[in-house]
Amino acid sequence: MTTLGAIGTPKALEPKGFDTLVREQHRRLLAYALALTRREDVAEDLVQDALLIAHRDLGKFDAARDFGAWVRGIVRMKYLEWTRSRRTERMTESQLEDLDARHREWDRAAEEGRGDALEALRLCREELGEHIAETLDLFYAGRHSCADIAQRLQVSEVVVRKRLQRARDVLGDCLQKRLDASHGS
Amino acid sequence: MDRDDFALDGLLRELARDQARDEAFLRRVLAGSRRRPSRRAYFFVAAAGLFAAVGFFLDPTPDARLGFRPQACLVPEAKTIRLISKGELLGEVPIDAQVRVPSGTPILLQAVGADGLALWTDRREVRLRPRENRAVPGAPAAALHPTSVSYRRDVQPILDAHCVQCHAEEELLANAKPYSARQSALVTQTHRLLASSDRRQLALWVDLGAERP
Repeated sequence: MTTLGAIGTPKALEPKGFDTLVREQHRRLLAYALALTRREDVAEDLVQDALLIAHRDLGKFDAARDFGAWVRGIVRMKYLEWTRSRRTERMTESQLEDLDARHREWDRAAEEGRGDALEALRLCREELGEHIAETLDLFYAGRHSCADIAQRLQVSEVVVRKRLQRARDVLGDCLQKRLDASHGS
Repeated sequence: MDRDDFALDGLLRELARDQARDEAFLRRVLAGSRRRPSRRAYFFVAAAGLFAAVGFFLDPTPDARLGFRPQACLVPEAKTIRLISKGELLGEVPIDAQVRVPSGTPILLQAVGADGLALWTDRREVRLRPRENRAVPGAPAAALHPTSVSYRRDVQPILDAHCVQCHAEEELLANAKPYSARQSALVTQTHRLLASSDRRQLALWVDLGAERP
């Protein structure tokens, strides 16, 4: 992960520098916003708003901090605003802290050269068994409900939910191992 | 979902995102703009609005086209088809024709035999959208000629001339049931031979529902 220190002080940040940071960070920021909202359109809006604020307030940014973590904080603030305006249920404080903690771990892994979480997860995804991978694809890429998937695959909804949970367990372990293994190698 | 799964769920959702959408998002962010329609999109919306407005002024209630192939298959002996709306006859046309009908109007279809009596009446009305085309390609166009059938004007004089000497009016009207001329004693069991035009008029009134004031 590129930090502000790697590209200069905030005041020295030129538009090109900001573009580079956005290009490097936007997918992780979207992953963060998607974890919060589970809605692609809302996640894009939150991240876009946060990056516009980041661009406006770049002069106030502390160069000692991580750019991604800083913008994640703005995304989080925007998320809380969104839940208030929509009166929608939101994550608890402890869930938000857990989510931030996981992203900080992945930030550290990237900084220490242990790999990028998204790329590691992509590789883990390729190792999944056929049934689990198919269920996962229908849920995430196909955006089908569990009931729809159950109907398509001719299995019960409980089986679909179990497969998805199994997939997350396997992928979580694999991700952890990949990022740790990179550290060991 | 476990607490740790939220982060993983977000990563999985991001992995599954369409690459083209991701690139569009990145371009939008880097352009520093909100999602805004392009000038071309504005042009197309304005042009579509203009066309719609012109179309509305030229033809405020655009018609639809209707053909009768399903009815012809269902009732092969039918020769014509009646289009009835709210008890009024919009017109009767050959079953192999196509007609322009007012959009949004509920229309009941009735297949009619060579003797002028209804063979079949649909249970449901059809209602076509503006410019909807359900015509059979190549079918000859026919025009609708709306006809109103009034009991007092068209039916009562026939009954007065041929029936009421022997039958009470209520008895005659009870014989109109079940509102199918082919099964109605009023049409099929007359003592005197009715003129063909009178019989058709009675039959039409019965087939349209035997409405009376």
